Amino acid sequence: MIMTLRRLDYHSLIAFLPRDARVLVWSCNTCARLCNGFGGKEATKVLCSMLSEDGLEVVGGEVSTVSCFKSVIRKRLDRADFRMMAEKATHLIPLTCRTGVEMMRNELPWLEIVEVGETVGLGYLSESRGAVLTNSIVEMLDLPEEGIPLSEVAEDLGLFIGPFER
Amino acid sequence: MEQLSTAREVTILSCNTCTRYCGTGGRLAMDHLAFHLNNNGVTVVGKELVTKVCIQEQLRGRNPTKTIVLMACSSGLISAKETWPDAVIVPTNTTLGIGSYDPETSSATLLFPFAGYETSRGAQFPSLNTETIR
Repeated sequence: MIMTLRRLDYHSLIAFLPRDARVLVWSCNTCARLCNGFGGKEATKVLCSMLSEDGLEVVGGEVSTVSCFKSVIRKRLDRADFRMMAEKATHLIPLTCRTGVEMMRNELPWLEIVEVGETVGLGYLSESRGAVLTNSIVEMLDLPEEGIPLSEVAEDLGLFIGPFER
Repeated sequence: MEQLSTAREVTILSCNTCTRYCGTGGRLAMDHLAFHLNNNGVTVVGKELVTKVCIQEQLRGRNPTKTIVLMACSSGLISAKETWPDAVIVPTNTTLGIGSYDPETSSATLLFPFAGYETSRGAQFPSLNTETIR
């Protein structure tokens, strides 16, 4: 599975978004969810609520099983309600891996993408160690064969793990 | 075949997610490999299709033979090693990096390669021109 951490804490995200931003949150419900809940239905719902409570206009929160398929966003755009949300939005917050972000950049080019994720590589979900990074795309990480728990990777890189929290 | 020279019986364990989209896993690739192994003196006594080998929980409750032929990514390999530490696991795949899949062309594209595979950035799998990544 693709391992993704979070670049920003919630306060930095809020500070970054203009007050008149109309925000669409898109999340992947597979790898991103399994990365300690960085993405997925619950993370999307919570982030949308937090942004609304803080006075930002949230036009929608969309969750897809995967975001690394080129067809996923195209198919959603065929749906009138999603197209309307996407056309109304000014900013897109992807709770996905970097591949998902690339797909969105291609399919939703009019939106400003607020990259909140940092994809660090591939890994697996261990029953004893949780999410573990085994192959890095980050040059500064030197991994042992058995990998490093994602929580330790976050510490090493100064990143955040899991969903946005206040 | 060299790595299987001493194995009489094997289980093939194939991941049915990312590797399926790369053409190096899934049911069809597993059946294809089983056919060739059986024809070359290796008895395939079990074929296990796992939705995601990288979710260790999905490996529990399976009892493969001592020798496992694994059609998964490198993370799936670590997951399998942790699950069956005494098994001899023979991986069939090399993991090049992270990419996307386009159902319209039935091909996966390498977007973010790991170190050593940078020249394969943008390569498509399975594509008509796979020579570049062998």
